[in-house]
Amino acid sequence: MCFEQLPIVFDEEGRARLVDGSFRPDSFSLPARAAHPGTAEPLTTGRRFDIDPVTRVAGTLAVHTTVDLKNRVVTEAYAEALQFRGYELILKGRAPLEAVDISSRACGVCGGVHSVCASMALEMAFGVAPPPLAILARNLGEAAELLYDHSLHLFLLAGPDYSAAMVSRTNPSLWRRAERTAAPNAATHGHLTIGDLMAALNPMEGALYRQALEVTRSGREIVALTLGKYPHPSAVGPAGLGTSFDRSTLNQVLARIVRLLDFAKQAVAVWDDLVEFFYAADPAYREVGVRRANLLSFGMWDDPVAYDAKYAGADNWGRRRLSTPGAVVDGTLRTTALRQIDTGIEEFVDHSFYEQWADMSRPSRSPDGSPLSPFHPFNKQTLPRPEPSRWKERYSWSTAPRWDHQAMEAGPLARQWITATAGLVDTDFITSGGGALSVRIPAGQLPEVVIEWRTPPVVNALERNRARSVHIGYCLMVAYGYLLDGFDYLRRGETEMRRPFEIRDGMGVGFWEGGRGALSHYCRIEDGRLANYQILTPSTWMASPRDPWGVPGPYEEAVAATPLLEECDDEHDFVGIDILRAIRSFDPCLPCAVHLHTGTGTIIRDATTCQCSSVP
Amino acid sequence: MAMLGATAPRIEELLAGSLTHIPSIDLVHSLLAFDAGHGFIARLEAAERGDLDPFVLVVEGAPLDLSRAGTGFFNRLGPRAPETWIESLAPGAAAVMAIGTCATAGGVPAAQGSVTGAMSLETFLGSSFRSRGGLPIVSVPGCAPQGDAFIEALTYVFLHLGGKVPLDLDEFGRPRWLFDERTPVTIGARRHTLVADCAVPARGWINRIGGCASVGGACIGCTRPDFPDLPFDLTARPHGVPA
Repeated sequence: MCFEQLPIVFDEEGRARLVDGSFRPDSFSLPARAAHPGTAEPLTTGRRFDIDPVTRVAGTLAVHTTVDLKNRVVTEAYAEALQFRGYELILKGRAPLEAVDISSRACGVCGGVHSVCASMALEMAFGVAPPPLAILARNLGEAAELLYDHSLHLFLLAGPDYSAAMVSRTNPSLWRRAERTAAPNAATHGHLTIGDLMAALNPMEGALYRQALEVTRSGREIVALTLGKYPHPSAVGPAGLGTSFDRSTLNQVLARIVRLLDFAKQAVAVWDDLVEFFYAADPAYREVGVRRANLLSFGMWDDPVAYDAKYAGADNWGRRRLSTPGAVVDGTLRTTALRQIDTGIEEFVDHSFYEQWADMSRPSRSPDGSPLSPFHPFNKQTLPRPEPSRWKERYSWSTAPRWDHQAMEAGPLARQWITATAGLVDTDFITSGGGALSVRIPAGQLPEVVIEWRTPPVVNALERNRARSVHIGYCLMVAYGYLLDGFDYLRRGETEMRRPFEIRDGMGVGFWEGGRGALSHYCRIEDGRLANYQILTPSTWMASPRDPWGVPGPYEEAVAATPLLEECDDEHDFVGIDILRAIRSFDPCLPCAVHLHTGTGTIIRDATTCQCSSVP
Repeated sequence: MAMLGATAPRIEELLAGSLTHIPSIDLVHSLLAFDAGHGFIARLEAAERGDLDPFVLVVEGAPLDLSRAGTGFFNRLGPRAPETWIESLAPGAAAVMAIGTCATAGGVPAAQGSVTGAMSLETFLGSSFRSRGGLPIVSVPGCAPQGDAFIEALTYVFLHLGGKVPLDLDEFGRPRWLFDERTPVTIGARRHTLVADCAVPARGWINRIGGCASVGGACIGCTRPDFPDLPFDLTARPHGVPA
């Protein structure tokens, strides 16, 4: 069964209906659930320690925690998204096509995924799909965007947390061990000891840091070749691309992809060595950032022939994507049908700086007429209400998205877990099934390598980073496959890149993935203008505050489970590195601030000494 | 983010001091900072106290009208509103730069429908503002700004502060040589009478690759101060012109 909580079932054709047959105002009333352990009286004792902002993330977020220093654990955490710009309000009332260029500007880090996702929402509303070569080119450009994005995260944002400069400061004994531990994958990445590897991760100066920075530029160049520019592609829109996808373009893309073959192998070799080193040094590192395997992905990279932009066909074209859509609850894959995934989504604002939207009694239906929860994004209205943060009331600009009432995590680990379990992807380079993935990366300077990845026994910070390193190779071979297919299209003379379309009223949803995970856009067009536009980003899923039942969001859950393994004799030197690693492993697209509160009366740093006490 | 994509010179080359006449530079930016929390904020406080001198303040994003949030907030950088940092740091800066159309003109966050009161840096600091180095706000518009245009502007700010070259700014505070090409805004098949001043048509987007109208996309006027509320909808795409 797909849902355990929502009152919706699906027939054999995948159409949704309410369990009791007809919609009543209380059909979606929220069932009472046992109070979550995390909802105990928050932050009443101890003193606060702030890490505000968390750097090396994009945007703004704070996480406030209670720490039991005696047992070296975090007992409670609150994620506070600190920034509101109002894109959904700005989009309201505009001409529909403006959604492409304006929503793109929502993020300069995930600078292409919004314009693509908006284009797909409009394609559904207009009833038009791009010609196959344009779908292929869009896929290729988006694979390159993720190449750039994952390289940026692993080596510029998360990498410094595992660098010599950081480890020698926060964990001197671990650093001494690293210096004398041989790196098993030295033949691939070229660094003899784990200490050498960590030195190569040092910001701005380390070899891996600088190499990754250059790789991000190659990724940007491939996006520019296929989608016009990056960030904010200039040639993306519904029903096609403005760029030409000719031999010259393909050759320029090829020249850049082949240079990345060895980097993809090295990225996995580096993170495998780091992850295994930390596990061997202290098994407690398996607990850093750990949370339940509740995972969500819309999948990405459409079959150029199967994708028809229709909601009714979404289960079919979704399953033909080169990364499989799916929802996993407690390690069990519940569904791979995009319509079921979509129907399970609700957004709550009980602990967010928004008013609850009115008119819950007449929720709209999905584009195929199926019932939707009044909390579904198609029914949501953005009604900001800024106020000071109060932990038991409202404390975040993020909403609390839930799937079948569960807090879900998105990103490369979710994509790979679902794809490996579903076993639907089988290309010349990537095979899946039985919980395993295999990615074959051809020879460059280094010989051919087959990367094997299995669903890990725990979902934690290190496994998120390891999955992301595998995903560099995954994205690269997705791009490489489309490149080779592109030559076939040109040979057959199928060069059409855009189709005409009419702007018409209706509703549409785009299901896509950003580097950090599930992304969806929802549009409703009335009288030729955008009557409502909703953007649900992966960081909204993961930065989520408590939901109506008091259940924490993924950052909150992961931080609360994190042991404090930092070696720290002087409390004033404490930097909270384990908490930072836990948060950064999600690749947050929100600059983040972490506030630690001691729960046992042990003062790790008096709040007044760091002048952060102005935070409510 | 734009800065990381620059190739002539690359950000790591600029920071390392490997360019003639440009000192090594200590970058304080939340996206790349080694330290988090107090360790990061301490650098801003040092600049505020005058202990980090000289420094150049680069603002990305649009300052907001704090009163619109009442007792709450729309944004924070560490414990404070970003606007309070700008207010206290700008007077002591050798130069103040605005990167991106949000900072130079308000951009998308200031567009119709906005509730945050987003505004340009010039509106926030006042048009008579001059940095300690005697410069008006040096502006590099674009949504996103082109990485190379920003790094080039920054390079010339350093050369200017070091007395090597005069900094030639136009009436909008933009490096004149980067924004002297007038590009017609081309929405769809139509060419509008509007123009945007932009270096991209001549230089490409990154490493001379990509662009906007020149590679099959559209110029949507993203360097213009009225972007994105141009006098017409950004509707007709270069491809799939509505039937």
